[in-house]
Amino acid sequence: MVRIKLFNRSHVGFISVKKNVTFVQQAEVEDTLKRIEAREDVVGIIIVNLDGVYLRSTLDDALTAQYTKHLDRLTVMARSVVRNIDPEDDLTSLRLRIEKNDKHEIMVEVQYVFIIVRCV
Amino acid sequence: MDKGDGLDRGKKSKPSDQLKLTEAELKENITKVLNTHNPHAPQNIVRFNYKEGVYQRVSVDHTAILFEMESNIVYQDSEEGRRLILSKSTFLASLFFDLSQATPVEDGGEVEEAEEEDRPDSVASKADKKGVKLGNFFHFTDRATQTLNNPPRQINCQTAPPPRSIFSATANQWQIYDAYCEELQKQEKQKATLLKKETDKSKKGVLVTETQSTDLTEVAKETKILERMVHQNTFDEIAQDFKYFEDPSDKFRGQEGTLLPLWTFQHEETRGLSVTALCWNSKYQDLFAVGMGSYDFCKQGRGMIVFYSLKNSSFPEYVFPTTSGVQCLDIHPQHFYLTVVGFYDGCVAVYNLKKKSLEPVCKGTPKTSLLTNPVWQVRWQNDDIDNNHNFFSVSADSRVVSWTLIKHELISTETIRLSVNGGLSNVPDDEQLVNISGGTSLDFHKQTDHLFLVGTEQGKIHKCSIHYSSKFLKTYNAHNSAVYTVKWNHFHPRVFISCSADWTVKIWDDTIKVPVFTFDLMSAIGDVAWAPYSSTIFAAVTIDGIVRVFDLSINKYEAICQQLVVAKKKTKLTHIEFNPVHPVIIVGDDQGLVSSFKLSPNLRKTPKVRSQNSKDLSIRKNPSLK
Repeated sequence: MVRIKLFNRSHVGFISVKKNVTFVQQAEVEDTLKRIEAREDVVGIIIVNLDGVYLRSTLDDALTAQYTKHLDRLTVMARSVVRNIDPEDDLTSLRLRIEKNDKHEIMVEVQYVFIIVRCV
Repeated sequence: MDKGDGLDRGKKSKPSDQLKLTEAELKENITKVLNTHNPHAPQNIVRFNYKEGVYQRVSVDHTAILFEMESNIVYQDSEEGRRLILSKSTFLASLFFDLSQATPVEDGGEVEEAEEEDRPDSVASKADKKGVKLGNFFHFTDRATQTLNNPPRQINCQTAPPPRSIFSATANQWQIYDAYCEELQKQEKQKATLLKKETDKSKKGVLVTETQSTDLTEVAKETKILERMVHQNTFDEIAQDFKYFEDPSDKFRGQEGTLLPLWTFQHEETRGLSVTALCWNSKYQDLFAVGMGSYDFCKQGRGMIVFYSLKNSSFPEYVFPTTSGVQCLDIHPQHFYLTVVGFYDGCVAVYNLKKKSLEPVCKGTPKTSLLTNPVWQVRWQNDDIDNNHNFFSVSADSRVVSWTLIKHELISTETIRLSVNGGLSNVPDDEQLVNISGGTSLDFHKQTDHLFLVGTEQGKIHKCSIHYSSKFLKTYNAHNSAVYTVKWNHFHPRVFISCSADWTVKIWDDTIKVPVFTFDLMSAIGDVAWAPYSSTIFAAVTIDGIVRVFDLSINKYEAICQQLVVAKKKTKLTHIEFNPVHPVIIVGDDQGLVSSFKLSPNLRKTPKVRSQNSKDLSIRKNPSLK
């Protein structure tokens, strides 16, 4: 059985791209990612960009490709659901809990398609 | 009848099996008859007749037709033949009437007779007599010619097929909405370009950054959210407790309550430092600031300002390292990103969280004195007339200074100078040094802006006003030693609490010089704080690691909750703060650890709201006053 939670954004916002990219920010992001990875619960992190090409992954290639492919489609569908109900809204994140056997949880951030595979 | 062996010449040989007949039989005349019977035709064919239901003999026709040809030859002597000959001759006769010497019609019969006589060769004889070919006007001949038919040819022309592509799309509600939005944007852009032409440059700028980049900076926000999600999963139980758990055993416990431990916040870089200040953010109620420094006179060194969020207890949101130990901090109630910090070395600094730098926006140093005079308390005040931010600080050099932030610079104005006698005294400098007592705490009145309280090292509390810089409004001989904390009550306009190094907590009504309540806690007190949801609840922390929560409406003499909150015995609790919204308190200790606790229901009883709020509270609070 799979449980899915959807999170909405409450306000309308256009995706704004920051012009000035500083190294400090980059380092912070790297740090945060390392911290997440270092947690004992987390199995892996995959960062995918909007085209479906994965930028970074801590899992092996085959698994990453699988996850990316399937979760991409799920994300598109979920986003469609949210936006159909209210077009001004948009999907921000997604949580999938797999309860059989492994008790995994997959967390997907939608804006840049993040995937974390975590074992409960 | 000899048998011939081999060749017989001239002799008629008879075969051996020839029939032997007598001579009489040989002479017998045998007539051979020819008849029309067909010898091959069978004579005994029988067919079943269905009509009569019997087999009947079928007779076979004996006539065999050898040759058949259809023609128009007519036998002369038959009737038809004679008729034909007659008709032909009369016709000819009538035609060649003037040519022939034949007699007129009267002689027709004779002619006929003559013809009948000459019957066998009448036609031929006639033809021979004339010798002239008779032309016939009525004879037609068909003549046909065929024109040349042009051979047909096919000429085809084939064009290249138009290029095709298969297109499919869905039309959802949001796609329609998006299309409309785009249209709107386009229209707006057009309008904008009509008005201003400088926007072209900015458009180009936006286009450039939209190209794909492997930069991770765009995922900064998502990373953060993900980290919090993972954290929530890890500390799932705590998060659930924080939100939903209400200790059911409180019903059976009478008046007492408990503190449920929630998250603990610790950062590796803060080792060796103790918590010297705590402050909740007013807008983001899960964010709080921790000032790290040291209370130990000998161990002064670096400090830190760390911002934690309840959503992520494993890593702080913001970390600002400082050169000197932090002694106090305050977050602006309206401009929630501004934090003012007072240091051990007497400086004050304002940090802006919106800016990405680790440096303060501005730093202010005390005008005079090379001595280190730690700033014990800073408090934000409302913006002044020019909308400049300003705050107050009290420091060990016995001054209450008002600082104003004007364009990234801090300008200080001395508000009041504390001295033992109260007010400025025209005493020569030597004496002044003796008389001056450093201020240790400061608090502004919740309702009346200009009113504030200052606690001193000597144990006195002065009630002052911003407008009166030379005189105190009132002085209370509060304690025997330094006053660590003074705090106005959130609801009651006249009540304040003070705690000091003499191990007591006292509650005052500002009109009365004597404390209304005194609590001796048997142990050195770190801090005391009012609860934001009730006017009668306050909490105090002591160095023996116990948090005491008092509710004066329930029990005026004892704490309704006394709980040891730290694991190690030697940990001293230094500060406590109530969350403005959630029933959570944070407690800082001298190991640099901040622990959070949830207050059980018994500790959260709010007084009943009646029409005359303050009157009721005052009665409840101070029954001795009436």
